[in-house]
Amino acid sequence: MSINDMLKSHTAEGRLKVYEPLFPGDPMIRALYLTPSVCSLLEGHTKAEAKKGSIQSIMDQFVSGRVVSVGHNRKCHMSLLKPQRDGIWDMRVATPLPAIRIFGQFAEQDVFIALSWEYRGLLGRAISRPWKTEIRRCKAEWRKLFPTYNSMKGESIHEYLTDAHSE
Amino acid sequence: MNISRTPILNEVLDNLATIPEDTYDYFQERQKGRLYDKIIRGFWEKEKEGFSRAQLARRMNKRPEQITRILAAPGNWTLDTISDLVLAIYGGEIDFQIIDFNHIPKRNYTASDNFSLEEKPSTEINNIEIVTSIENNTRPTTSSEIRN
Repeated sequence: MSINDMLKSHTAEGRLKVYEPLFPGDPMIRALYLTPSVCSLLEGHTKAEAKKGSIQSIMDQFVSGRVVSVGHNRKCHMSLLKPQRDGIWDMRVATPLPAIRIFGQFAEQDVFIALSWEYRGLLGRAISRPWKTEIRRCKAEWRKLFPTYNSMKGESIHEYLTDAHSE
Repeated sequence: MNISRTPILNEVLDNLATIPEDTYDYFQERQKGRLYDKIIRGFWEKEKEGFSRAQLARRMNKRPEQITRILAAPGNWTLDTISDLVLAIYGGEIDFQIIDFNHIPKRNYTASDNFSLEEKPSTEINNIEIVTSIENNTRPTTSSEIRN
């Protein structure tokens, strides 16, 4: 079974959901899949519901194929986390506070699987234990969904993402 | 299974409804994202012609590291930042146009239509117009006309 077949199967059985842009006129150029945990951010099951508009706007930026800013600036849309060889990314929702990070991995170029999320304030510094825990959780979620496939590992951010602008 | 979408435009189009805060957040971020897309793509085009960040910095009378920071993300952009970038990159200004949400085209496909990345629809992603030349008594040339 190819990874695309697995994505279809997970989508059909509700383990992943395909994100469609909120704005009806926007095209779908990149693909974004959400786990139920990440979906809860958009469906009002968490306190983070107040941030729904900003989260959807960043997801729309990604899916609609607009330029994605990549870097460690907290205002960037996405970042490739260290160690970069792990291929773990986050989507950054800086405003309104409290900031949120959505963690995930790429199945292939422009196909992002959003696996988990956490409030930025609970993560502490970049090399702290909560960060490492979150990265482990992200990897575990991937293995649960795709036990026979590794996530994409690229040499540069442009291998992961078309039309990315890095710092 | 696809995410059920908030009827975001319904609440915007209902003149009697209070627009929720997260809808305002959505459109604020969306405008920034669309402008970022337009300006960065314009900068990439200029780079192909040999225009560098250092040249942009000189043109904007800023240090190269300031330019790097400005281009890194649209989060802190103000109308002044946008005006300066459009002037320095395009040698032009933004032509404002209000889009009536009653008349926006809808996608004629959904993710459930076995959407595949190999069959990306060719769609105009960003219809923000930048005016790049103005002659007396003539209509300005816009970026979409240049593309065509």
